Amino acid sequence: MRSFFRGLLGLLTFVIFFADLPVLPGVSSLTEGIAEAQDPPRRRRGRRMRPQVPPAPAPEPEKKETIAADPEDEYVVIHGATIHTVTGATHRNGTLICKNGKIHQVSAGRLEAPEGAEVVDAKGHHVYPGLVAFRSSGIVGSGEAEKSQDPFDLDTTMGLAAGITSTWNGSRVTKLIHGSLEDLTIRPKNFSSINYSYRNPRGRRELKDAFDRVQEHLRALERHAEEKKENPEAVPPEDKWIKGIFAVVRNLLTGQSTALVRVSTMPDIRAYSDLARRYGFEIVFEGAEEGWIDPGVLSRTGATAIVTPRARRDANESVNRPTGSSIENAKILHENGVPLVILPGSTQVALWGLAGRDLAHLSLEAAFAVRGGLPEKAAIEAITIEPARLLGVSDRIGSIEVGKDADFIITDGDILNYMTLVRWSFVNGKLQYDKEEEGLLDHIRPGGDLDAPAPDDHWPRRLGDPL
Amino acid sequence: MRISKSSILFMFLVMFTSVVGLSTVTHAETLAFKVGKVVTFDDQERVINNATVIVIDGKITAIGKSKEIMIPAGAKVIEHKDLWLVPGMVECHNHTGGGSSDLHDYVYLTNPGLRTLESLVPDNPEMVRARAGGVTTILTIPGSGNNMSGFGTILKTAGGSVEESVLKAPGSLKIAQAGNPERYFYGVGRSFMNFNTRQTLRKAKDYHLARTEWEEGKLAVEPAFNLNWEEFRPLFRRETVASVHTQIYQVLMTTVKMVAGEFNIRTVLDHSTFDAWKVAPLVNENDSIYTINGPRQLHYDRTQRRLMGNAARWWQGGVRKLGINTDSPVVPQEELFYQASMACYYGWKPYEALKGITRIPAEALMMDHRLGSITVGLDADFCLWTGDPIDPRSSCEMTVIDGEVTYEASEKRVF
Repeated sequence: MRSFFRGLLGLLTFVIFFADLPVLPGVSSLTEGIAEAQDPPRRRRGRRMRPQVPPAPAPEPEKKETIAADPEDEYVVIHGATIHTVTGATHRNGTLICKNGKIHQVSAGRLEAPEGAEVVDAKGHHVYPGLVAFRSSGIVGSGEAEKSQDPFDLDTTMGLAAGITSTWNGSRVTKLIHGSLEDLTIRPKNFSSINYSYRNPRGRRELKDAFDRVQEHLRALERHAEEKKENPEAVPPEDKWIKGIFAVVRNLLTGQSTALVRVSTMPDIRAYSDLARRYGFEIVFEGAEEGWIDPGVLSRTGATAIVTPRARRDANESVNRPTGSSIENAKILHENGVPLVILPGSTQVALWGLAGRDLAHLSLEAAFAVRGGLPEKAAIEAITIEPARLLGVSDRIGSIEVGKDADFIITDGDILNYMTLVRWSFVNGKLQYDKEEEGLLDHIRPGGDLDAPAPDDHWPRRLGDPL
Repeated sequence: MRISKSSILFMFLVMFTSVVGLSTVTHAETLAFKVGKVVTFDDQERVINNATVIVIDGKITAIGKSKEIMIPAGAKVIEHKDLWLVPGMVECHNHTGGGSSDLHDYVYLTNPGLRTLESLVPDNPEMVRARAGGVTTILTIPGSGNNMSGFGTILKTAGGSVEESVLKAPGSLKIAQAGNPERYFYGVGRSFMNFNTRQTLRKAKDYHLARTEWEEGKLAVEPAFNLNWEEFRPLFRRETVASVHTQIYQVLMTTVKMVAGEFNIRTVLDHSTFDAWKVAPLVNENDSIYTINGPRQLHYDRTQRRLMGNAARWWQGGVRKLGINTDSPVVPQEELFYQASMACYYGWKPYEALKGITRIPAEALMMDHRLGSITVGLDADFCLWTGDPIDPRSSCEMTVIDGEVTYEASEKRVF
């Protein structure tokens, strides 16, 4: 049976990728047809194995006792799970109702599913908002993902398997969606990179001069606005020179962008913080391995820290002050009110074998922060709502709240536990990953069974197997 | 090249010390550890709640329920009712015993006479981190850039000098089959490497047999002493092991057939990754082989489109002498526990995984009479944890090596 479906899959793949080449005028492409279909073809393989999600029955208008649902509305209802809303209460044995891709209702206890809803019985499971990877490479398309994404990319599926439903691709906050190129981009987000490192004295001087010049220009603009009230003929200050680094600085000073800098040492953190406070712009520190040494600097600056809790930076024994990384960094920054975002050392999905240090284990990187003393709640926030805030999309994603996008994951345990696997991932209220169907991890603890048998190998046969 | 004064001193110490003795430091103190749980990994596989462990002169002298154990007069009581006491972890594949700079000597494709013992830097920063991660013993071996790169050393992660820290030298012979040695220079493939390995082992065995015959009085003339082959003698007496860098099932088959079979060497299958688990039944045929998997815990099987946990697949194949390594610094030494977490994430079982970084590697290195479990008479090497040691959220609060507290998180948390 399995091989039949595998054959079907192979045939479909062939049809999609190879037979689709000649598109005659007026004849729509096969891939378009597939993309518009409700389910991408690969999912059909395991449809029979999805017991909790029965095919939606045709709406029957004469039934009256359930919520009167417009048959046009698409409902998804999750029953029986522990719902971690992150920004609000945690509901044991709760109900989550999504309507048309948005979160419609979150509640403790059991609510009746609207007619025609897709119902998931998630008893014993946990619901979390989809994780947000602040930065990533390879799990979504670059730039405008609608134009660059491979809708069947394995890394996207791996990201969904890790519970990640959104990420920033360097220019846009983008969702992880399988088999479709619709509703990928949430909104653009730009950060500005500046170099004010001690290792670059000339660059420091030039940057500071740029800040002074642009600040003076902005004051001149204000004076001009005043002057214009009395003299409509007043000439505005010259601004043709505002390009390159001056444009970057203007965007920072006018609040149109945020500075994002990669720093490790406390002297660098101090220098950038002084600059940010002096000229009044927002700054985000990525790395910040020595932030624990003087966390007050970051909190006074209002800086956000993007940390990798177990990053190693050896102490510099040749200086007479604390140096180096600390496993307590995340905890200390959090205690000092610094907003925290957690990222693993590698922002790719690594399938070459070294497990546990890439985006596929984002939640375990947060577990390392707990090791250093960060409360578990803060660790979960640092991979959900905090990156969403930093990316300016916390009105859409990052927590389970009514009105937000229905992007959530259902796991078989505590998200910070090392044996927890994602069972289902939903994005925009649509099932995007199903562990039992997807095949990647279906053989690992199916139904929670620690002693599940090994999957069949097809080649080579194992020694001793009968012919 | 920077050489610190202390490393020069160590080099001289080692050069003028032909025989490295076992740790001779005395530990006069008597310690009593009252803890919430002891995971012993002893012969009865006991897990004892509310337990006490007594340590005298660096050795474990009693274990049991707190209410049943008499605390000797004058003992220093260390009480942590909320912590777990777990055997110190044993790393089978480490390259940081000499700091992290001196990994490898690429002289010839086989340099069997070399010893990592000459390059040790005890108590280097990597060892401080190792202790903070609960690792108390390491086998530090040369790299895998050539077929036979020399002999490794088994040492504790504490101890201020080579004499204090070294447990056994030679601790293992490092053989590398396929993979890295293929980069030695153009034209080195598996056929040549297997010829080279077989030829070298053959020469070493001939030397061993000749010396043995002379020692037994069967030869009139003493065979010439040869430093290249001398360290092989305990290997052929099965008193020490070969750590074989082997991966991919085809290569692993040659390891089992040649090293463990043809030459009858006690073999530890290091790495044993990619799809090596496919030949688990072959490994099961030889009772003395240990499989110590790592640093890759994951194999992406393209034909099946599945992520395979290497350790889980070995286990499912019936291999029970199964442990895990880091290949530090490939994975930092303090993250040995996390290799076990990853093995479990991808399908293995927590108790077996914890055993796979304590008792099993101790057995693999033939050091289970000293290490790897909480058993009366063994070295007092253990750590106190805030919970399950392979949960990244748990932390190591105290590390005890040879009955001495060598790391305390309450003083300065390192990891």
